[in-house]
Amino acid sequence: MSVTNPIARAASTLLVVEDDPETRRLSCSMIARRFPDLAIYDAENGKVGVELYRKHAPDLVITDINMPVMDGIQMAEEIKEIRASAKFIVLTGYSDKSYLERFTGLGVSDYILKPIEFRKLISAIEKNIVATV
Amino acid sequence: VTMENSKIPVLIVDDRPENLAALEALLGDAEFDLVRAESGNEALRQSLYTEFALVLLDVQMPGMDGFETAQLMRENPKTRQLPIIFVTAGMNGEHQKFQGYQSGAVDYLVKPIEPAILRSKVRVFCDLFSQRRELKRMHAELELHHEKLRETYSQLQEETARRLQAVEELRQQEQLLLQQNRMAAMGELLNNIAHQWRQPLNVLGLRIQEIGLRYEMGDCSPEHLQEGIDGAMGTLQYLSQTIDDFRNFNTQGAEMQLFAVDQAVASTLSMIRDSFTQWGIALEVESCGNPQMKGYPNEFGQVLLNLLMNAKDAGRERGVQDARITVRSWSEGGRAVVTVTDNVGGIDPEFVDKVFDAYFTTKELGHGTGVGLFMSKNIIEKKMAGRLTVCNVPGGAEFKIEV
Repeated sequence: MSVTNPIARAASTLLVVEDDPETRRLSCSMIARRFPDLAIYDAENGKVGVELYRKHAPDLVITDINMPVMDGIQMAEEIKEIRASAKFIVLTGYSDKSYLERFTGLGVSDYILKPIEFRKLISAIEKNIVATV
Repeated sequence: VTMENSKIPVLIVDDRPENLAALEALLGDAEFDLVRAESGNEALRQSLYTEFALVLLDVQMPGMDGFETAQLMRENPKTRQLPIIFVTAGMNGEHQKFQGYQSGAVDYLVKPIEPAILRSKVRVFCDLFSQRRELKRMHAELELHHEKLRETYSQLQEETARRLQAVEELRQQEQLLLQQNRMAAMGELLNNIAHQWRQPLNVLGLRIQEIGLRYEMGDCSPEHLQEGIDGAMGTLQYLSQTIDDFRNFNTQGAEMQLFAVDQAVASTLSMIRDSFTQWGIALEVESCGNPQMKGYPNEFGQVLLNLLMNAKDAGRERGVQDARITVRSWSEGGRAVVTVTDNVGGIDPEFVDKVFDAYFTTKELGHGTGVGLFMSKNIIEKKMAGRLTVCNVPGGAEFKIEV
């Protein structure tokens, strides 16, 4: 919910949705370190994610699937209704694979399996942000 | 020949038939069976065939005299105990009497004999004889009883062995059920560990990569490096602790011990909290008075796990939203009480009496072994001498453990 890297005039904006606070904090700080110009917002569940999306219209959403209150799939569906061209990178554990099919119809750009290989996340972000900008 | 009904045999020995006749006249009544012998040799022969109550033995006889006959009778084991009374006409010197007693006589009578005295002396030995005979009979009877007792005893022994075997078979069966239940619980726990590890593994991965990232970005001071290592090690310790909990949970306690209920509850809940959260089931703990329980903490944990899993499964099967399970513990009248209360709809009143039966399950085929609650009751009531009961409460069911 806080802006991790509040640069006054950011080239691109990113939303990270993840319920585990430590994973969320680490992911955000590492992404911020690697992409100092990105404005990063973070949310602990899908419901907060939708609210932040509505407010900031980020270029890219990185999201977990299993979360309390509202899971990643439901959030993606609601965000798609706000903006049909919204793009997602899904971070998921192996057991969530059955969910992936439901994501296919939602225009997911990339899946990254947990434990995350940060290099893969970087290149996925680069690909999507560059495509946007 | 039955001993009881036969007359008492008395051997009379004299070389003179008229003396024998005189003895017969003196003793002749229905009580005695008088057997004649006219020489020492014949007396010996007779005494080998028949067990006499007494021998009336003449001293002066041609060939083998009375003393010699008595001596030979004493030497033969069969007649050693045979009471001998010497009856004599002239041999009344102290020397002869002494010789008579020495050769084993119980009495030494010199003629003329007072009939009443002879009869009463003979009767004494006949009474002894019949008493001995009665004793023998009783002894035989006792022996028979004893034999019967031995038989009964050995039958009892066999029966006991059969029952012990049945008990042993039951115990083995129970052991098998316990094993099944433990395996099922282990499967559940393994599943939970998978859930519990996914997040920290991801964190651990990120922490390690963060060190690399900082180095790459030229921002890796020794402090940052140490911070990254400490963070990674913290997560690693947590993962290690998870396996320890899991392993401890599956170790059987050998001895009863007093343990803190709250701690056992906390350690069981720590193993499943993550996956319950994933399933959207709230777990609440309320405790008061730090209750202590005597028993086996790991088995208690298994029981608790069974109860929680049942509530979880029921909630998921019935699609209950906002499922909530509350574990309460307190002390009451010297006992520790733990309740597990859910809000997932309770137990069909038709099944309330059956939930603790072995192989009773309402879960779909392949989803319940039907031994969880049976073994839980077994653990609490048989191994820990407590009580495990269930009742429906508004909105759900409440299991109660009292130990």
